Amino acid sequence: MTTDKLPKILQDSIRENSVDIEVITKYLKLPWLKLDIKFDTPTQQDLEETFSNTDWRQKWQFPDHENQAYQVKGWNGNIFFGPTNFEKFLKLSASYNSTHDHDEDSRCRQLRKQIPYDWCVDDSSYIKKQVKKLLPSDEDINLVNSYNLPPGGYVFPHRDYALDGLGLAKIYVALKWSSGNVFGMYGCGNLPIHEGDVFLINNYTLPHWVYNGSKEHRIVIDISANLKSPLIAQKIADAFTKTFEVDLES
Amino acid sequence: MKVKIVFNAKFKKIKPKLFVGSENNSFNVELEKQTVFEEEFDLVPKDTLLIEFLNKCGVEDNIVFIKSIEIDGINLQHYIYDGTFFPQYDQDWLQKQTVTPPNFYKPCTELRVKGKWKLGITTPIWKMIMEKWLHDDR
Repeated sequence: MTTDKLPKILQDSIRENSVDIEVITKYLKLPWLKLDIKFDTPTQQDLEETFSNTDWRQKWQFPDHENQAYQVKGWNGNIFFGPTNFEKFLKLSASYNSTHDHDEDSRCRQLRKQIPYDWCVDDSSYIKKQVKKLLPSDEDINLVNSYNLPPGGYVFPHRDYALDGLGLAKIYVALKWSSGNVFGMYGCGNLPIHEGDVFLINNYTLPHWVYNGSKEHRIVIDISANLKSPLIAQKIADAFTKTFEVDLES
Repeated sequence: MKVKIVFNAKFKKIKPKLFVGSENNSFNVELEKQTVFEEEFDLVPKDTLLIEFLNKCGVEDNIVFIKSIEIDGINLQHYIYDGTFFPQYDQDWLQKQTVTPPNFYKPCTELRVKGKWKLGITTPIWKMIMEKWLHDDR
C-alpha cells in the first residue's frame, strides 16, 4: 500500500496505529476479555488459604454489610496483597470517597502511591507465587483478593464504581469454578467462564450478578494491577487482537 | 402482578387512610401501626404507583412511613427513594408561612402532610432495576 501522497494525518494514522492498552481498558468499556494466562492447578491445601473467618464486607466497611443476608448470601474473601495499615487506608479512603461507594480495587488503585502496600502472606503462599509469575514487581500490584461463594451463594445485581474511569480493570482468576456457576452481565448474557480461566472484566459499566448453583465452593482470585506492566499489557493486547481479529499488517 | 408495600404508621386515634393505585387499579387502605398491603395489580408497561395520604390530622400528627415496596416478587430496594411526594398543604397554614414550602419532596418515604406520592415503574420489573443501575452514574 502506498500512502506517501496522502495527507500526513492519514499517513501517520495508517502507519502508526496499534493496539493501545489505555484505549482498551479505559475508553472501550468492553464487558470482558479472556486472557491467555494459566495459574498452576491448586491443591486442596492451596485453596484453604483463600477462605477467611472474618466478614470481608465488614472489613472493607461497605455500608450495607449488616444487610448482607438480603443482597449477598455467603460471599466472603481474603486479602493477600494490599495496604499494610488497613485502618489508615479505610480512613483515607473514606475521606476521598464520602459521596461514592467505590469498589475495593478502585480504592486500592487510588491510594497506591500514598501509603505502603505489601503481601499479607509469606513466600510459600500458592497465590503469591502465581501472582508473582504474572507481576514480578510488587509496584505493579494494587490488590490481591480471593472471592469465595459457597453452594447456593449469590450477589444481587449491582454496579461497582471507580474514580479513575476505568472499564476493563479486574483480573479475575476462576480458581475453582464448577458447572452451575453464573456470572451474568446485563445485556451481554453470562461470562463464558470455566475453571482455570483468567478474564479481564469490567464491573464498572454494566449491572452484574453472581450465583453459585454448583455443589462446590466457587473460588476466584481478584487482582488489581498496573495494566501497563509489560507481561499483562502484552496479554491484553494479544487477547484483544485475537478476539477482534485485529489487522496490524498495514 | 403482585404489589406488596410495607407501611408503618404513627397515630393516636386517627388511623391514616390511603389510596393506593396505578393506571388500572385502586385500593383504599386504613393503616395500623404496621400494615402489609398486598394486592394483585394490572400494571401497564409504563405505569405509576400512587400512594395518597387522605386524612392527615394536624392535631394528633399522624404520619405514614413507606418502609418497602415489592413488585412481582422483587424488592425495589433503595429505588423507593426515586419516589416523589407532592404535598397538598392546608391553605390556612400555607398563607401564614413566610418561606414558601417545597412543591415536592424527593427522596421522601415519610408522608407527614396530605398529598400524593408517585413512583414511575416499567415492566418487567427486573429490567427496570437493571436500567436504573445502568443509568446510575454516581
